[in-house]
Amino acid sequence: MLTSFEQVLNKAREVNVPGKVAVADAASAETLKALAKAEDIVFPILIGDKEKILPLIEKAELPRYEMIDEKEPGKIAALSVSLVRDKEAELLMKGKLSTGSLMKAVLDKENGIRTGKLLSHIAVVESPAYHKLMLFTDGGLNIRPTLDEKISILKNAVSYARCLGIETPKVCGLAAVETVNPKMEETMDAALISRMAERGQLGNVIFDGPLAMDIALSKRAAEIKGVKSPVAGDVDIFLAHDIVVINACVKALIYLSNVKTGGVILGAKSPIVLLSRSDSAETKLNSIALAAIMKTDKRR
Amino acid sequence: MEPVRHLEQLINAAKSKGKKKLAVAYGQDPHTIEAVGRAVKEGIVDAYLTGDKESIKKVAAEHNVDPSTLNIINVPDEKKAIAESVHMVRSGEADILMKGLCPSANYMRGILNKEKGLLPPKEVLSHITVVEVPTYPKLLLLSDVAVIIKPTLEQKVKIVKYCIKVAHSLGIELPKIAMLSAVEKVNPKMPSTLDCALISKMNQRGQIKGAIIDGPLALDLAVSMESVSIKKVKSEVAGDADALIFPCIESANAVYKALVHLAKGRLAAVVTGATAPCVLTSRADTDESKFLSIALAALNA
Repeated sequence: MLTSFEQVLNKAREVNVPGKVAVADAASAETLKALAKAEDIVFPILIGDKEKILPLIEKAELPRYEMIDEKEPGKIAALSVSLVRDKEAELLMKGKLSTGSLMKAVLDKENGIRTGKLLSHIAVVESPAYHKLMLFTDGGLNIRPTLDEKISILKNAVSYARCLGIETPKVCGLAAVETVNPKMEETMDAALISRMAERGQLGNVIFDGPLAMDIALSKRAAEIKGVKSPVAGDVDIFLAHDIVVINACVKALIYLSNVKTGGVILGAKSPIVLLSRSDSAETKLNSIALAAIMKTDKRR
Repeated sequence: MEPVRHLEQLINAAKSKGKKKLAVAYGQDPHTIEAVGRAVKEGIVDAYLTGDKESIKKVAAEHNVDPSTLNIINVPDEKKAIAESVHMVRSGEADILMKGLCPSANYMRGILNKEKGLLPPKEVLSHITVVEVPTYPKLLLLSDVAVIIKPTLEQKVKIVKYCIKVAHSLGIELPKIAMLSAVEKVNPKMPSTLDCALISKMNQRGQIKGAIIDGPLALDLAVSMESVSIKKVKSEVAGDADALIFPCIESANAVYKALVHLAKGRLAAVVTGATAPCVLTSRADTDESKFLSIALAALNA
């Protein structure tokens, strides 16, 4: 079981040949710098305007790459996605292209890389105050998921947890309280998912909810509040009902505490790396590694 | 207290709680008077019947009930008789209300009357049937077979709480309550499974105490260990339920009638949620079940 980013990076580097990553519009200095740092993890296929990319490559000191010259954004997106569809690349990464254009190509019914699963974002956080990695979902893609969508998001997260070696992940259906309250919709959905898990409808997972974050993170809090939960103090995954909850929570951890993070988009034929310009160099590297380890398992 | 496992045991259980006062609304019909007469004779209740005094006396005498054992309050008008009986319970002069010859709707209207009735705000009037069938080793509580047509989640929570109280009155310390649907899986396309799941979770979280609640369960899983082992459902309730909570009146009503008419079931019933237990028997009920219903109400008064 991987419990730190150091271990995630080590696992990502444990390959003889780095997997190929299709970079959708590589004319971004930030992206190229991240790829240079990740040179022992992924091999980039840079798609975009060659004239713009070449000078940036030199600055970024990116040692090895392939390049496909293309200027038109729609074509860049389609081309990048087609590389994954045709198995020329294992990973997809957003460069300078807008998120919207890339997602449109990913979700395209004929030429996209859908799998029938819902796409969802997962943030992985390592905190010195916690004994293992924490997964947060969904703070990046699904705004206010329905019950069915939450179940899809959960399934994506659970299968990702397996990549980290967590066989039976413990999941918290996040709310502000641990009681079921018809006035708080998230407590209802969490209760329902928890019963589904107890009935074995969700496979190998321990889900409990509604739970407030303190109970999920701290056995002591659970004891004081008298809540019996198999998840208390040992949570692997937080599943929330609204994008703002996870987005704000992870950003608070990043900006106000000492954590390491990374993120990846799940549910397509390949993991998708979607870096934010404000991400630190470390976060960018972590995100590439998080995506790469999904494929190394299959390659070995 | 040993759990009551047979309906006959209701009689002694009720007696052990001391004699209660029974207000019978418009108690003029032979079936009601017979059942009440028997409850008086057994020492379970003192009875106060409202209605036309002469008719009551006459019917009692014709059906081997000594009119002098009954307290008769002469109110010949049906609606006034109901109001008088409800008033007796409201003022504490009586502990139990029972329907006589009046239509159920008028009787219920008397209980539900906002100013003069018996239903506290936020409570829900609901019906609990206690069934004894030869094929099950203990009593089964069913709700709601008669009053609430399609209970909401909040109403189901109330029904469950009343059921727990009645189960406790029967000496079942930690009743096992099955929240029924047609399947044991949570399926968003079957709304009844969702309410079942939510109420089980509320029980896990201590929001509903004094019972073990599991759902959704199909009826076979609730009462048959064989089904449980075939379907491999892990549940503390399955196969050993004390109470079955139904998603709607149609399913509940059909099951209780099937048990009575096809499975030699016998029953007692009580209306809960009001400030006092209310007896609401159906014309088709046997005299025995009317009598046992008085005993059940007395046990809960």
